[in-house]
Amino acid sequence: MELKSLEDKVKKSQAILKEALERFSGHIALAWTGGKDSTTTLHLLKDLCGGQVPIPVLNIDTSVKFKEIYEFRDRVAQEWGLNLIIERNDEAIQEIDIAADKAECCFRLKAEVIARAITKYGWQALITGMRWDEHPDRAKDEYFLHMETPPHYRVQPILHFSELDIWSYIKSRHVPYCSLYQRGYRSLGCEPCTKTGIPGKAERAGRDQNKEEIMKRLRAMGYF
Amino acid sequence: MTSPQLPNIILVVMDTVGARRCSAYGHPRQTTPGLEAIAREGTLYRSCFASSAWTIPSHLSLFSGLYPSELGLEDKATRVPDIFHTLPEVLGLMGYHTVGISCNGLVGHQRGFDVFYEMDTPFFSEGYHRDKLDTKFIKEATDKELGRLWLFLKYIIQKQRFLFPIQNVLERLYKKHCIDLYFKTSGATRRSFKLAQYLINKYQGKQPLFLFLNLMETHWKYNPPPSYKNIIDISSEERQPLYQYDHQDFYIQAIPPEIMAKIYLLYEQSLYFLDEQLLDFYRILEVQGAKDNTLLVITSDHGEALGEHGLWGHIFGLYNEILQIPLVVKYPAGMAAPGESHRLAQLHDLFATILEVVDAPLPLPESSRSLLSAPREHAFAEHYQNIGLQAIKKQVPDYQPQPFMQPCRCVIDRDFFKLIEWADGRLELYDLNRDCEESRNLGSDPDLAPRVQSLRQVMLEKLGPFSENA
Repeated sequence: MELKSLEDKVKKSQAILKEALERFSGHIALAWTGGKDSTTTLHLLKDLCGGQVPIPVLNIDTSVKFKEIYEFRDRVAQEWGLNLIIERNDEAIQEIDIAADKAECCFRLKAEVIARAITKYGWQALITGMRWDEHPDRAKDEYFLHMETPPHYRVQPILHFSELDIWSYIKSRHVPYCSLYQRGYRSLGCEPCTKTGIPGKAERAGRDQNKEEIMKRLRAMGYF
Repeated sequence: MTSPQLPNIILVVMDTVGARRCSAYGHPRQTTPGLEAIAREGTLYRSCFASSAWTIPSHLSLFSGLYPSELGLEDKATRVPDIFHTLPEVLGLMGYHTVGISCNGLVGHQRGFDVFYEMDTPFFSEGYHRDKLDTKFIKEATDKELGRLWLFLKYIIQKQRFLFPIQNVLERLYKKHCIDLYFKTSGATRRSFKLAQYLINKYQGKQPLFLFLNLMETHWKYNPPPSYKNIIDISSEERQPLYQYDHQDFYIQAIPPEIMAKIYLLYEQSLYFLDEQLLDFYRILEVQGAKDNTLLVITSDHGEALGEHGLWGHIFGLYNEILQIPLVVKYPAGMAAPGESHRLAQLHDLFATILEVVDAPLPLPESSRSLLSAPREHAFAEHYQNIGLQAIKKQVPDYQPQPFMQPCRCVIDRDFFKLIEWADGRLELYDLNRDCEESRNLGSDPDLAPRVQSLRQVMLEKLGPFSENA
């Protein structure tokens, strides 16, 4: 079916979410970064389930996200009554030089933490807010994507949303979003790799370009 | 609003036009009768300020809706950092065909433009300029020359653009030997409007068009066609002695006052020529039947000091001759009644305004206030990169900088009090209502001390400590 309108896309996403909840009942969680895409996914699920999010919500705390993201996460978690599970790799935070080696940093602070959480909680599936139009590497992704390490499914219900669809959804449903978007940000990463503000003190090309280049490898490791 | 209903958006930046040079803003000579005519059918904003004193930060602010310090611009940055949205990018998402036409070498392609014409080109096909864009980033893809050549050849073969390399070589030769946009401005201005006219015709009824134009007529070296002589009658030969000077020379050597007087008048003559071209273009919009469904914006990136405060050009300071810019908006039919607005406005408010006009669902940046919503409380401007002093020191390495050569920033409130903060901590306060020439610094007036404190605090909250930016 061709998804012409936003409402068509919402229906498609919620059908995928419904199928995922049935297939992986009791063994599924939703990964929520606090960004616009995963917040939209979370809201779609909440809307589908009559205003409650019936599954655990996983938030990966790298310890170096913007304070506005932490504030947003905690506020929404409280207002929406989320079963929020915050996981972080304290060992790695102590050991590595944050953002010095982008691949290592993302792997230790994100991919490794996701993998551990999946194993720890026995989840068979993890819902994420990926979109096809985000990155060329994501263009051929499927709604249910099997991952090897550890074995589980990635459920990607908003793959067909464009960036504009996301904002149209947020606007039409009055979904809350992080205040950084009102400061012009397009996407929210960790603070050291999403630099702006002080001329001459730091590299600031937005999301780190090297990281985009190694995205493919990181995704295979479980990073989203 | 669906794509076919969206209005065309034409954003014209008259590079280096200060509001006070325009008769539309009270200049005693008739420099901008065209702008006045357009303003009668649109909205003229009396109090619009740029967010910076020069081209790059000002344009990047316009394209992002953010202040220069929010963008975190490095010295050599010419593009909006990837982490922020750009105006053409958002309009592209909304279904617009986005085209840039720039006569200024410092205003290049921004993320989101489908086609970007740098006007020092002999070729005007969209295909050629799209090829230029598509191959622009090959040099960044690899350090190896052979690798770059391979990627280039691959592009040519895959896209079957066999003429492109030949055109590209010809263009390079043309740039090197035939054109200097800082000098041959009038030809570039005419070609820009002609190209705009062609594009409007081509896309009319097919796809909404976003057209950005930067015109360099009033940028030094002011060089209007000699046939335009209602303000100053000066032949091409007589102009040559003027062109030996550049802005930095004004601070290094004593340029004879009679030379400067001619230079200043030549600026106004350039403005008059540009204004006439602009009015012709506006009339063509009407003839093409495109006027009613077009949002036409005419503005500037900054002004130009012509002797005020001991300055020439726009390399030092944030005084009003540099900061206050013209802004005339002709909204699509039925959107806003014609008239004048005295609200406090800034160049980068156009980002939010345009997003509101096209009903884009994205959050508007807090720093950009739509002209169709409540007025802003404060306007800010920043000038940290000391390009002027760098240029001077290239010629005179041991040059002792003057106080006005320091980096600075300012805030203006809704009562039109303006506080300028310099890098060495000096503060200047001006009441723009009574003293728009900024001739009387009220910074030491004890009655105004609370206002100085409050403006300083507002600036600190918005822009952070000076030392972190300069």
